[in-house]
Amino acid sequence: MTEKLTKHPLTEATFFILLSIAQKPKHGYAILKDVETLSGGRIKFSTGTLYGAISRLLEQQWIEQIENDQPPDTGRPRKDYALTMTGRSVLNAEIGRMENVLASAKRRFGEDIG
Amino acid sequence: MRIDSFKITPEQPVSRGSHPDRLTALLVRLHTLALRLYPAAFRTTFADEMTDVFAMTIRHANSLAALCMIVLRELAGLPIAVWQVRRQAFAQLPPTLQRLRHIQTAVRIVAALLGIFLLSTLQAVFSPAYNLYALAVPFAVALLLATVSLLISVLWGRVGGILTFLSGVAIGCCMTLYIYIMGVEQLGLVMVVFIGLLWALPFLIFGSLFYQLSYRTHQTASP
Repeated sequence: MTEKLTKHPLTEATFFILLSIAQKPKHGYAILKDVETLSGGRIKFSTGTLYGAISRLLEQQWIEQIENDQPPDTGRPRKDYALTMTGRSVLNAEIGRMENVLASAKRRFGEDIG
Repeated sequence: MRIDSFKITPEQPVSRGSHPDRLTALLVRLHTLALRLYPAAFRTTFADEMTDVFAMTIRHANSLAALCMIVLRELAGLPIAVWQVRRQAFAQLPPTLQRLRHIQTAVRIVAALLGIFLLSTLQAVFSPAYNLYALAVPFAVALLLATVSLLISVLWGRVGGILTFLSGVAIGCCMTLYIYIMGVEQLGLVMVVFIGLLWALPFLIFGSLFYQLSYRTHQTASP
C-alpha cells in the first residue's frame, strides 16, 4: 500500500510537513515555523499554501487532526496535527527512497559527494 | 534510517512585535476577507485556524520589512492556494456534478461577456448625446434590466435566472408594442410578434439555463 502511495516522490513541502509532525503533534503555526527551520529557510508557507497542503494530507489520511488540551490565547480550541500510521509509512518510504538515491550517487562519485 | 532517529529543532523563541496593533488588526481583517475566496467547506474547517496562524505570524514579525514580507508572501500564495483548494474540492465532486459545474462555468463566461458588451452599448444609448426616441425608452430600460439581471445571474444563478427570464419577456413585449405603435404596415402581426420573440430569445434562454443549472446543481449536491 505504501509503495502505491509513494509511487511518485513527495514534494519537498509535503515531506517537511510530515517530518515536522513526526515526533509529536503540532498546531499550524508550529508546523509553519518548523518547516521553515527544517528546510533552512527555503520553504516559507503562506497560511493558504500550508492549510491547502494540510487539507490534502487529511484527505489522504496521512495526517489526522487532534484536539489540543491546552487552552490557546484565542479562546478557540486549538487543533494539532499528527501523523497517522499511513503517513508514517509514507515518510519512512520516502526517506528510504532518498537514501537509495544518495547511495546510488555515492557509488558513482565516491564518498566525496555532498 | 527511521524517522525516529531525526532530531527535530525546537521551536524558536519569538520576539515581540513593534508595529501598531491597529495595523495588525487591519491586516487580520483583510486576511479574513481574503479567506472568502476559498470554498465554503474548506472555510468551515480551516478559516479560524488560518486567521489565528496569520495573526501569530504578523504579531511575531520583528520589523516592518519582515511584516511586508509576510504580507507579500500571503498575497503571492493566495491565488495558487485558492486554485489548488478549489481543484481539490472539485475532484471530490461526483462526475454528474462536475459536468454541471463545467457547463455552469461556460454559461457564466458567455453571459458575463454578453452582459459587458450590452452594458457598454447601453451606456452610449443612455448618454445625453444620444437622442433616444421617447417610445423606445421602455425597450431600452427593459434591455438595461435584462443586462443587469444577466450579470446578477453570473453570481446568483437562480434569482438572476428568474430576473433575466422576466426581463426577456419584458423586452419581447416592449419591442412588439414599439413596432406595433410605430405602425410598420408592411409587417403582419405574426411577424411583429416574431421580431419581439427574437429580441427576447437570448434572455429567455440564458434565464432558463441559469435557473435550471442552479436548480440541478443544488439537487445533485444535496444528499
